[in-house]
Amino acid sequence: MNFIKSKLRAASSFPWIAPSVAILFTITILPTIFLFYTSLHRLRLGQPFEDRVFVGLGNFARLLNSADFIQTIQLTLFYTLACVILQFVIGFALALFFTQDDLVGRGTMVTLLVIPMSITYAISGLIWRLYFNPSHGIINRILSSTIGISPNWYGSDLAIYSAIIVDVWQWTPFVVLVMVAGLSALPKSTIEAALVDGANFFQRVRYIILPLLKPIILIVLLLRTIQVLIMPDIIFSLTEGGPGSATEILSLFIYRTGFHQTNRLGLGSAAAVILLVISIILAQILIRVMGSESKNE
Amino acid sequence: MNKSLKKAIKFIIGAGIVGAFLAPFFLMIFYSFQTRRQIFGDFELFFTPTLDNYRELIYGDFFLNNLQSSVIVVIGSVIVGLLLAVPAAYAFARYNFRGKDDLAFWILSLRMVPPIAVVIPYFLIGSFVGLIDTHIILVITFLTFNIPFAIWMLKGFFEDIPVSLEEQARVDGCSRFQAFRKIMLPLVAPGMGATAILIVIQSWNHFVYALFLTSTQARTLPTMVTRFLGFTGVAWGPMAAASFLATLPVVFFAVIFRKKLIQGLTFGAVKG
Repeated sequence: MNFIKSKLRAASSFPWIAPSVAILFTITILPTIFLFYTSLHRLRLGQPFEDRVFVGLGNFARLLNSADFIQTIQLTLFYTLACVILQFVIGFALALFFTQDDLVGRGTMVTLLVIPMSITYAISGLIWRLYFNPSHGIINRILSSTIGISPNWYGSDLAIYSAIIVDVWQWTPFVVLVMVAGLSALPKSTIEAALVDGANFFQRVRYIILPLLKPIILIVLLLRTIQVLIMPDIIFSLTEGGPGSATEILSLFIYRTGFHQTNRLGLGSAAAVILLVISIILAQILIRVMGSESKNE
Repeated sequence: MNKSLKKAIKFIIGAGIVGAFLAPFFLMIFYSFQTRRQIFGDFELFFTPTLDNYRELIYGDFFLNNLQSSVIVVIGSVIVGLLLAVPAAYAFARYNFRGKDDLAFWILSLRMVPPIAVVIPYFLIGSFVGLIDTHIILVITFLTFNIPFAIWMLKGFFEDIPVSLEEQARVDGCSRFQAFRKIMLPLVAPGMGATAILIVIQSWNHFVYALFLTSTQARTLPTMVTRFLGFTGVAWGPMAAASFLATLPVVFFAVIFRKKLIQGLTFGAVKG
C-alpha cells in the first residue's frame, strides 16, 4: 500500500511546485527587497530613477518625528479596532440568532447575507457616499424627518465614523457566515448536555460555545484586522483620506505621500515598509493559529 | 408565549436584519432606474423606471472599455492561476518532503501582503520594463493573491480524493503524470470550477493594482470610482447604474458559491 508514498521525495515534487514558487518569489520577494531599497532613498515620482539620493534611515526618522504620521498611526489603530470589534460583536450575536432551530428560512437569510460582502469594495464606498450626502442622502432624509437632525457625515469629525459604518456594513456578514459555519459544526450533544444541566443562554455562550469556537474566533479576528489594515478601497472611494487628513489611515497615508499629494516615493516607501512589517507579524500569528488548528484535527 | 407567534416574531426580526443589510444594495438598483427628479424627490416604492442611466453609460466613454478590460484580466487570471496552482496543489496534497508545511504557509502568508505597499516597486519596475497600463501587468500582479488562494483551495480538493484510486492506476501501469491527468484531474474538476469562480470574484473586485498600474488602456471596472471622486454633482443615476452593472456578476457568483467563498476566504479553516 505504500507503493506511492515510498516514492514521495522532495526531488520528485520539484517540477510540480517550482513554477508557482518561482513566480511568487519573483513577484513578492524581489519587489519587497526593492521597496526596502527605495525606502532608504530620497526619490520623487516622475523624477528619473538615477536622481535618487541615499538617505539611510532618514525617511524612517522623518516619519517618526512627524506629527502627521503619528496621527495616522493613532487613527489607523482606532479605525482598525473599531471595525474589527464591531464586526465581531454584531456578527457573533447575529450568528447565534441565525442558527436557532426554530427560525424559519434561516438558510435563505444566511445566503442573502453574502451580498454585501461580495460587492466590489471600492464601489461600496462610492454608493455610500450618496447615502451619506448631508442634504440629499437617504440617511439624513430619514434622520431629519424622524428625529430632526442632519449631521454632516462628510465633515472632519464624522468622516471616520462614516467609513467605519461602511466597513461594518460590508464585512459583518463575513463574520456572520464564518461563525454560522462554526456554530453549525459544534457537537449538538455538548450543548444539549449543558441545557439539561440547567445552564442559561449566557452561561452556554460563555462556558461552552466561546471556548469551543476559540480557534475560529481567533482566525476571523486576525483575518479582519489584516484586511482592514491592508485594504484602502472603502476609505479611498468614500473620502480619499479627507477631509484634510481626517480619514488618512496608514494605507491612505502611503498613497497620498508616495503618489498623490507630495510624490515622495522614498518617504512613501518607508511608510509602506512599516505597514508591511505590521502585516507580516499579524500573518505569522495567524499562521501559528492555523497550524496548531490543523494539527488538532 | 404561543409557539407559532414566537416563530413569527423571530422570522420578522431575521428578515428585518437581512433587509437592513441588503437595503443599500437595493437602493442602488432603485436609483439606477430613476431619473434625477425621482432620486432627489420623495422616496417611492413604485415608480416609472427609466433606462436613461444605462443608455448614458453605454454611449459614454469609459464603462464598456473598463468592462472589456475587466473581462480580459479576469479570464487571463483564471487561466494562468489554474495552470500554476493545480500542479502545485497536487504536489502539496500528495508528496511529503521536509519543509512542506512551512512552504505552504509561506505561500498563504503572501495573501496578506498589503497591495498598497508593494505597488510602489511594481510601479517602478513596471515603468522600467514598459508594462504599465497593460492587461498583462494586472494578470501578473493579481497572481500575488490568486496563486496562494488557488493552491490552498485546490489542496483541499485533492486531499479529499482517496489515494487508493491513484495507486490502482499506478499498479495498472500508469506513470504518475498519467495517473494525475486521467484519474485526478477529472475528479478534481468541480473543485477547479469553484476555484476559478473565486479567482473571478477576487480579480474582478481588486482595486489597488488596477488603480496604480493602469491609466487609460487597461482600466478595470473598480477604478471607475476615480471618475466620481470629488464628485458633488447630480449624476447619481449613471453612477448607480455603473455600480450595479459592475457588481452584478460577482454578487451572482458569490450567492451561488457562498460556502466555497467562505472556505476560500478563511483558507479552508472554515468548511462553510
